[in-house]
Amino acid sequence: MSEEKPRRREVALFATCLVDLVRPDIGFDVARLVLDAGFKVVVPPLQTCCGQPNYNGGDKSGAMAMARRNIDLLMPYEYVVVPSGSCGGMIAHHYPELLSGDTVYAGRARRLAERVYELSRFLVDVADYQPSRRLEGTVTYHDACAGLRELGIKSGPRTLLERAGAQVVESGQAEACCGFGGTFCIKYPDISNAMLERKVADIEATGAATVVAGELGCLMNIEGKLHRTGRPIAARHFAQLLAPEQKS
Amino acid sequence: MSRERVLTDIRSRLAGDTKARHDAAVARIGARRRNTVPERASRAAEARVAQFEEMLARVKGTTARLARLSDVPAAVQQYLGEGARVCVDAEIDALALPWQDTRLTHVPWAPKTGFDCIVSGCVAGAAETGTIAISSGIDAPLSRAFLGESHIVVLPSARLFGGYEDIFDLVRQGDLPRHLTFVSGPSCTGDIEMIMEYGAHGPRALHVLIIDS
Amino acid sequence: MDVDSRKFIELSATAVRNESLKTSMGLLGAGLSMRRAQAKAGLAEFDALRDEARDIKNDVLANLDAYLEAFEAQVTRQGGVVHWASTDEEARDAILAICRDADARTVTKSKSMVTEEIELVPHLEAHGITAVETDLGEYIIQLRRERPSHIIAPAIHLNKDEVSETFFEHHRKLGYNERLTERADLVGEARHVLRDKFLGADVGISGANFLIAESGTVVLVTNEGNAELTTSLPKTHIVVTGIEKVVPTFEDAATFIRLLGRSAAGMEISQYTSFITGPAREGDADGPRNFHVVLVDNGRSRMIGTEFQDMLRCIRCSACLNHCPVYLSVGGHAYGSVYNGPMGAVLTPGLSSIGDAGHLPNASTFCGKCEEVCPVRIPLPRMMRAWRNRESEAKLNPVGMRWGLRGWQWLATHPRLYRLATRLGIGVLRRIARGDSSYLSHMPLAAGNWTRDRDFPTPSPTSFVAQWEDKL
Repeated sequence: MSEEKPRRREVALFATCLVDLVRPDIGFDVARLVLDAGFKVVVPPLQTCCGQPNYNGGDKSGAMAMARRNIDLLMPYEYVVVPSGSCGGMIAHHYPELLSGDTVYAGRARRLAERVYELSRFLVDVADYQPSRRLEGTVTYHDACAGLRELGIKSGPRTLLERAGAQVVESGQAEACCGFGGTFCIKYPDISNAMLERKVADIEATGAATVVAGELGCLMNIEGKLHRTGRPIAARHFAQLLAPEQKS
Repeated sequence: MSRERVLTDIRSRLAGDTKARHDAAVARIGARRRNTVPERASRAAEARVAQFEEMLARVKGTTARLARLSDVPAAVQQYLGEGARVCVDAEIDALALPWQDTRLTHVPWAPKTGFDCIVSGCVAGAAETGTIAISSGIDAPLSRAFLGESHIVVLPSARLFGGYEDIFDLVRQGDLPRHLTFVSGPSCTGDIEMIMEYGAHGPRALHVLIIDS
Repeated sequence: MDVDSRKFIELSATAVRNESLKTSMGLLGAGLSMRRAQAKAGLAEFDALRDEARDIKNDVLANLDAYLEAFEAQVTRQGGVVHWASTDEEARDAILAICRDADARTVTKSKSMVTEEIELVPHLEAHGITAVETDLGEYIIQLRRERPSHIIAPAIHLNKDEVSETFFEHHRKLGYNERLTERADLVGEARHVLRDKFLGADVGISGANFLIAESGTVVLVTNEGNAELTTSLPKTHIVVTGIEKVVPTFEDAATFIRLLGRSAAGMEISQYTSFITGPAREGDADGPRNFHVVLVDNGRSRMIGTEFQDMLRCIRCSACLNHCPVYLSVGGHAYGSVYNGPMGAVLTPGLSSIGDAGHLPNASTFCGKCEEVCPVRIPLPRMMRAWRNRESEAKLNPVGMRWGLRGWQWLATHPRLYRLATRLGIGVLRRIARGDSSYLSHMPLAAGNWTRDRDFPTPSPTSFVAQWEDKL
């Protein structure tokens, strides 16, 4: 690897398993955004999953093994950007707690936590990014739970969307859980569906053409319901809306 | 014995020794330290009456301001109407107020006796939430305040404090009453469909007469 | 404690389809969350009070034996009697013995979750004592022979028409022949029926919101005034409460009183807050001659010193239920425990076992709303996660789940095999989608629970990492 730019401007992109495996296009949108904000993007090729399913599923030792591995993987970078509040929260919030009794990794987990940024936080707080993309029309924003309550992500994505010219209309229950919850939606499908129905009705009531979020799990859940019920509302990660158009 | 078992179960899981914990608890209790007291519970005396009236109105209590204690009987009649059956508690009765100028029917207290209204004194008031404190005692059955259809309380403005802590300081000066109740509005329930209905078990209405002098 | 959450999935499936319950839960969730938000916004010191309340309870729990002994000494000094119960059975026996000493035939009760936990009323009735619940909600469900579905609004799952029907059926034998349709009339009828019960009771049983160690005082909070009549008319008053309810002083009680009503229902303070200290004094015009406090452990002390200790800070305000999207979807009965919602999901396995209550800490998306609104800042999601760990360590969770997670961890820590396995998996999904459709409407195995109610976006054939590598 050549060192043509100063190392401090290098950003490691941790795509998250859902973006990596289900919606790779979002990964490229994130990369273009970070580039457009003036940083170099590195995608560590050995990245997999942050460990949330294990951490939340009662497999603490498995989650710890995954955390140690990801810490080794991401420690070399000055900035780590994650296009997900829950995976970002996992690394920044839960790794230090999980590994607090680990003599080697406790300190490393804390140091990594200081360098991990959820995408909107990185773009607003670190890069003070002014989107080059111009948006029209109205969108509504869904505050994904972990980003909102673990990382305090609230105004950042809205600020970015508004800087790009979109009109953000608030729904009544923007902070209500959509019912995804990782394995929750598989283990408790009836409850998940009840929550999702409320969420989709709340989105629909805004009249917005697009619902935006920063969490692919929620987006897949919401989008799947919008499609199943024939509602003509698009569900997008904010990176998809904000990424500069591809020059192909 | 259950007592020893419960205490042993607790102690087996606590850090430190029993003596140190005992000393810590005794010191903590003895300090009677005030925690954060909200600004609204610490306002100057002149601001309190209006604050009390506003807060009590929010919970459907009503108030009237009277210049003198001797205005109480007329105010009670004005609120209840002529002929109402009132039960006057010992504290108010001892004041020898001009009840003879009204057309109210006086009913002696007994748990099973029906009356429209109980007129009582109180320990003190707290402006922070429009709260009055009543207590049990000799000639002051606590239950009486809950058995009338409505409750009129006489509150001298000098006994209207800012917050709950002031009331605690006052009752601690003597023997603690057996039963001290903070009353903040009439009896109500939201147990059917979350809609507030008044007069659940206690009074349907609460009216506080604030005496300025 | 009678707990069975094994039917949680079936009961929740029925509950989400119950339109009347949906209406009730909608009223509860929308009403109380709005009222709490207004009350919080109206008190600048609200969050500072929460921090203090957390610290007070932490201090109490760290010195719990000492505070309980201090409380006991003061109750005794006032002429009352403190009873200690290690288990629910000991608590029931102690209470029955007191009732028998008082030759009790009729008991009035004000609301108490601990008496629900120890199943007191059926025990008294089995021994020939009539126990009447006097909180309106509790009274309604007692007539219907149901359990509470909410810790402070026990009949919230019922609508006005159901209450009307229940009163018509049960009050007819008392001479009330009219079928009432107005809420105010229903409340009025219950007031009349219960007034006689208050006046005729031999024993009054209450819970306690707080116990003040300083003076041996019991704090009771109600809106109806039923606790005051329950505790001042009968000759004997029995307080039944958990060992974690003690606070050091009146000043500390004030901090909690400022939080409780606001957190529960957005009320600045509840209508009635009573401070009861001992039995009637010489010459008192009313009040009980006998004053008993039954301190119930029943599994609480087992939580001290564990990752579940913080749960003992709970003041039963119900804010976590009122804001929980899971509770608001299924109501309280689905939980199979008298404690439900997020606080029940943590407390129930603590008081019974994770084997009996396994579903409760699992049925959460960890959305974190409960912790956000908790007046004593209990980290409820963290503790639900800790229960899942305990469940998994004891191999009580589904074996497929355990092996699935172990396999996922193994793959995630072996990136080349992870790439291969995920590519194969995506290939299968794309084959089901027949290549051209951008959504899957059916998926196999457990994933079918996803596609039952929603579509699944068909994954791209090549992962992001692989495509990125190709581009370099």
